[in-house]
Amino acid sequence: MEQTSENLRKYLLGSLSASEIEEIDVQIISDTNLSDPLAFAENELIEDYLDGALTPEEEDLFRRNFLTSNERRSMVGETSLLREYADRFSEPLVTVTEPANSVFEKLRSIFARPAFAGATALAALLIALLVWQTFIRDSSTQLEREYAAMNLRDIPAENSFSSISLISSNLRDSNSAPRHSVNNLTDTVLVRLALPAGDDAATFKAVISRGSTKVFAVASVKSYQNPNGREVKMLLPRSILEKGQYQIRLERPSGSGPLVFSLNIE
Amino acid sequence: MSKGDGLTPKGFENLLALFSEDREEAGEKYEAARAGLHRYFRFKGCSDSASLADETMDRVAAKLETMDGKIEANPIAFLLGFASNIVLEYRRSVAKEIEYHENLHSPRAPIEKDRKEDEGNCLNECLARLPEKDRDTLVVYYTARGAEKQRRRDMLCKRLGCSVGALYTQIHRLKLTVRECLNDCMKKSL
Repeated sequence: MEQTSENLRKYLLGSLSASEIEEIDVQIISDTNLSDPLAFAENELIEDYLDGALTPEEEDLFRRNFLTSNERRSMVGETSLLREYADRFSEPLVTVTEPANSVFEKLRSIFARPAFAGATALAALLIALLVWQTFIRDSSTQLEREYAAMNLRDIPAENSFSSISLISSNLRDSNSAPRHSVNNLTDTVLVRLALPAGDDAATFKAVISRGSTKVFAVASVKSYQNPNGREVKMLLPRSILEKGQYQIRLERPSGSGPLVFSLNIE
Repeated sequence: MSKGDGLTPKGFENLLALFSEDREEAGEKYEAARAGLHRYFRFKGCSDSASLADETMDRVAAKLETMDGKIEANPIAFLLGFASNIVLEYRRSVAKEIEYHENLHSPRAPIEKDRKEDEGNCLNECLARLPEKDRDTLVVYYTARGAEKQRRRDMLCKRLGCSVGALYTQIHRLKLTVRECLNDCMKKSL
């Protein structure tokens, strides 16, 4: 007999009758077809638990009959982590879709009269521009947001990334930019940028260009003290580095003259 | 919980005879039943379900020896009688642990700070190793809450051009990859 998702959920919580439980027990042992729906029901239950969407009775059953193994507890922890990660890096469009609609609906009811037709169109245009400016204009990609988060954390001295060390082109002949082979780089590359003596800015904005085209940006990278002076350490994805000549431009929050670093990828 | 004494050659013969008179067919059915017990213990929320499946077979074999290997009941129903007792024993043995862990993993009382930080770092590392498309799929899948969930998942299915079932299978596969990586990473960070 085919089991409904509701039945499987109750089975996992242990709230079915003894005969219903036995029916599913036998099905689990005798054929494999129930494994996927049960695994799905497990995940849905965990999400409902984390959402606080279980009734008090269900929550009690969940703790007594479901959270009974290290595997299940790990599944809860892992789902919780994935959700936190997803919340940090979700697409902004999702959070603005609904409010934008409701605001639009309200405005439409106010300006629906014919006398206001022109004003309505103008207002709609202004609102659309405002929403675009406020919420959607962020043109950073998912990868840029991810690396922005990675660069906000301290980068440990001991790490497994391949490293590229550069000094500012302001201090050297830009034609002698160092050359690196893309084949020797790890998926995430640590770029170390030596700062001129006396430059003690704590953070910079980094823009990476290939030729005249911007290929990547990191909103905030940090400077670190090393025995020879200060340097900026920045993590970049290898996937943005193809063969060619690159420029890394560090912009200070104060807006004073940027530092430019050159790099050749072969 | 007491561990069975393991299968003797005679016990194993009795077990095979439980499934079929034809030895080859009996062997296949025995393996299928053992895998079924493994699934059963896993979905009953038991740790180490493979050992519990073996424990069930040991107990059934011991019982068959006292009965000269002859039973009238359906073999699966017979196995289930022993397996359900093992589940009860398992639950009694972990009752105290549950109380401890429910505090540890309740959404209202998050995992201790240091461990959570390590897990967070490991997760970042593990997700960074996934292809961007897979990472995005996980992010979109897990962003939605409550009523928004279905809409979000339908949107994802449309984007990926797959059914809800296929989407779930993909998420399940990705989670297994992430879980394996997380376990390795957490072992290193200890």
